[in-house]
Amino acid sequence: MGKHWPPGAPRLPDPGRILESLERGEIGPAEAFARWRGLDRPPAASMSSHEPPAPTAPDVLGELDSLIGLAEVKRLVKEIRAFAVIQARRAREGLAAEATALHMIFRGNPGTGKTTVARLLGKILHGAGVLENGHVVEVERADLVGQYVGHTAQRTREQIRRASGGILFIDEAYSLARGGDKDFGREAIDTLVKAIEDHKDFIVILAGYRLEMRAFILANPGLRSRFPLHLDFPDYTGGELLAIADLMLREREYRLDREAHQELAWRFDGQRPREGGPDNAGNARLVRNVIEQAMRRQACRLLGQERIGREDLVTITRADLGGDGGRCGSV
Amino acid sequence: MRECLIIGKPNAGKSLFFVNFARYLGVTHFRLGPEKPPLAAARAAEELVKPAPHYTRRLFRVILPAPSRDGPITVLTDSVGLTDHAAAAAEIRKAMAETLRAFRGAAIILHIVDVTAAAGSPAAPGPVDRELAQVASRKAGYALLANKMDLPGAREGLKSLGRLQLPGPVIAVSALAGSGFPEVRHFLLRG
Repeated sequence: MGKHWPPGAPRLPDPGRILESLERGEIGPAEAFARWRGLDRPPAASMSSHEPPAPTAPDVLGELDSLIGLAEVKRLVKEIRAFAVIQARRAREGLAAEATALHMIFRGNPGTGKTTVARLLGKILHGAGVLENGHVVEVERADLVGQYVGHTAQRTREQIRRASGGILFIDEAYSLARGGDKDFGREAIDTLVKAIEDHKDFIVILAGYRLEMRAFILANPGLRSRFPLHLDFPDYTGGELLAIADLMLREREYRLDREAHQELAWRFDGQRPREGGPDNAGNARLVRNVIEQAMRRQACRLLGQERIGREDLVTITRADLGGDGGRCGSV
Repeated sequence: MRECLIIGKPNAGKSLFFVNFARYLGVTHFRLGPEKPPLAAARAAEELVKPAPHYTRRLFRVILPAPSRDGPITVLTDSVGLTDHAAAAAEIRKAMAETLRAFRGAAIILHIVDVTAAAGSPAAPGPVDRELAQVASRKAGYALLANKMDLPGAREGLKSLGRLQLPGPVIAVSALAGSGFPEVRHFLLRG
């Protein structure tokens, strides 16, 4: 049996489940907040000014903090880092150090920040001295599973070799169990488990939809014990999607006028995909599509204008967000 | 960008505060749906504010005018009334879950209570207010708005609210008359 994270601590309730219970009427709002109290506790004290000097560049942690939403994910990432730093320090002092496995499961819909967090985590754990390089190798089923017996093990080992000193991020990992026992996906899982035992110089992150990942882990006891860290990536709220749109536009030196903001507030309201569905409604990809389209429409609108000022160049108006305004027409 | 969520029990005065406070900050028109025409504040108040509890069944957002051109953009959000216990209607339970989702994402929480509700009545501050205040007070911006200060009995109500010892600053307001709005504005600018 592998070690649990954090060592000895009870498993925290999943915020998504609290909301599901509320929605089903099993608990009322007062109880939902009470259960939440345990979750939304402030970051561990070890992350405050008492934190020992660590080699992690603070700007990486700042980058993590600047991500919109993801409060629980940020807290856990900081805990993992703090724990890793302290274990290394304990080892230097000759104290018993927990060799806790840092392999993780990232559960959530597409576009909820899983890959972004994985990349930051690589840098953070590199800074903390846990990973030699901290790079992230992103793969999916097709990169691991081969065409004939033996081919899969070879391909999987190749990806593991590339991830040495960093993170092997397997997206939609549940698809490895898709074809049942005779499928080559099984061989990839077995190769992975063996590599985790043999090599301690890399971290594996298995990512995918929440329910699919839960079923996948339950069906593979060998993985359950070796992946002690589970991070949930909830869908963004309407307000968070709006904040993401704002940020993406600011990075591109554009801004929304107030009417356009109001339009997007409506557009993003209640935009949440169904669990496991193909929809990418409630996530950052939707936002990117919307703003990139708006930038093109703004360009069309401006070309039809006689005079174009600097302010015009940076402003996205409501007309640019759809409807009939700003189309270039059949040019 | 930051979201400022108005939250509280049904009939605490959230929607009236939403419209009147936004108007106080310079919002002239409210668009109450993606395809709906913009409404003047008085019409928006008519649409949103009803004496029946749980009239608001979805979140309404309005973009506040930025204090300066490069100042942060604030979204003011009206939410669905939260009861102490589970609601019977599935539609309302779903809307409450939506409110809690927005609560997680919001940077600023304006928690409204009706200080004139008789003790023990469903509208009086109760367990949901206590629990909400505990979680919300950990956010950077949290204020408790003691509403309906224009009504008789409000002063006594405000004193009883003090005895509940809820965390965070208390601002006495009247969503109807607009008293306390400068203090709430100051709180927003500071946060």
